Amino acid sequence: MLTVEHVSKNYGQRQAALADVSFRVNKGEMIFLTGSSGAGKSTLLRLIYLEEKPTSGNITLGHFHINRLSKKQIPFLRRHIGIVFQDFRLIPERTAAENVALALEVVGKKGREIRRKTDEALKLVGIWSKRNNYPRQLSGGEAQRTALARAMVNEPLALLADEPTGNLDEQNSHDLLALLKEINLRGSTIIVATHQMGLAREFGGRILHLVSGSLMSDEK
Amino acid sequence: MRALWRIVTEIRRAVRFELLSTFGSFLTIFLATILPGIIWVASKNLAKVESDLRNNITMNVFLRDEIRPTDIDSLKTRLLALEGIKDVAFVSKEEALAKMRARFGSELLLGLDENPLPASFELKIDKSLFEPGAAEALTKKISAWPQVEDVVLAWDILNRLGKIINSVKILGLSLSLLVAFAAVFIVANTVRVAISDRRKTVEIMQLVGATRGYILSPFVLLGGFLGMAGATLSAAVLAWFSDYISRSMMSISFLEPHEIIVFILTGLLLGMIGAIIATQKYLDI
Repeated sequence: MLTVEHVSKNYGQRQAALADVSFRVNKGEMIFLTGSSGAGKSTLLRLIYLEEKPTSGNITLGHFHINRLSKKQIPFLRRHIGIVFQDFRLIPERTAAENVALALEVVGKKGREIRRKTDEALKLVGIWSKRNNYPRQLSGGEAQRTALARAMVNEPLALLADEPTGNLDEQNSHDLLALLKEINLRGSTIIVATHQMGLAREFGGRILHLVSGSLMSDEK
Repeated sequence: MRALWRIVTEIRRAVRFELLSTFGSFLTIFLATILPGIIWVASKNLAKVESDLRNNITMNVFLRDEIRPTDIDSLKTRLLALEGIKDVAFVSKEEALAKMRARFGSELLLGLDENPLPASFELKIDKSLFEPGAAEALTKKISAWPQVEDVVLAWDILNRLGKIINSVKILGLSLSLLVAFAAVFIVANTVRVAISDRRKTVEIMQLVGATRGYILSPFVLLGGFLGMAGATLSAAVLAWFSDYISRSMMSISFLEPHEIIVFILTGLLLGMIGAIIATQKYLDI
């Protein structure tokens, strides 16, 4: 479903951010991308959602040959990828429900469907009661759940989470990963980038370990 | 319809969350559009004055004092037969004096034994005499008649007025263009700030797969909305001011309904052009 083949990324003359990374992800897998800060986890995710292009190598997601896409095609790729960030990235002037609905609005879903799917997603992540709150009125855990609801509401081909627990306390981190696991068990493909090896091991699944831009291990 | 509602909602959000800057640009655009509005109303009224003057322009044919009453009728017939003359009215010496006293005061010329004012014909002339040289030829022809003392046509004054009106129009048009340019610049700047303020929102929209058009259309419409709102307020203030002048000083005419629509739509267009210029900076989206 996701294929990364001999992907490298260089920024100028410095050491490669990614060096000849290859792996495959099957549909319904949950993968932890681990490594210390600067190992290349976020870079790899950015290449998948085409924030940047690889220096060499190929990435395919479903029917998308990611590095062959033009700028105009990028939005259509992103509609098939859900992304969660450490800093939540919620729109401050939209309520929690409106933030989730945004992902459905941009793909042109109808009003009734938007409401139904938004409600379902908010209930799944457990913040339906806070749906009318603005991001500033949400706790870190609630904000991240909102971001997760937005990322999965479109039933994406893959859900990418870049250090999703980075701004959360231990309990909230644990709860969020449990939620990701639950979403994965419903059939979603999930890739979580984290430096917290312990959490990755606790929740099982496949662990890809990056060291200085190279893939050092692939444990199932 | 849904797209329109989304855009309205986005504009509402922009207005609610950036109330001060949106209100500021609305006021600036109001000020920028009121000047062309004033110039438009002024040149429209000046043009009306000019056209009224042209339509009512008279040629005065002053007669010698020794003229016989029988000559008056024959002169009148001869004048009416000339090309370009619509109407001829006789003003006797007494009537001339009465008119002058009515205008400048009843004390006028009281000390004199004799009325010094000549009898005259007032001729209403038509547009054919506005052709270059036509009025001069007619003046020359009538002046040559033995009963005629002098022929006076307020032609120079009218021509000078026409020149002044033309200068006002040219100056007004140049000023309006300059102000329109400024309005476009102001809107462009406002929208640029709005996009910049909402940079985070724009980035998030990109991440969830919104297209460039989807992201930028509310900003273009915001520019159009600001332009239209500013022009509407200008039109309202101008209407009130014209009405105030009409009631307290002199009758002036305001813009016709279709002209008001053109004025407001111009505001909309200028706003949208400004916003489109601003969004060009974000072509990478």
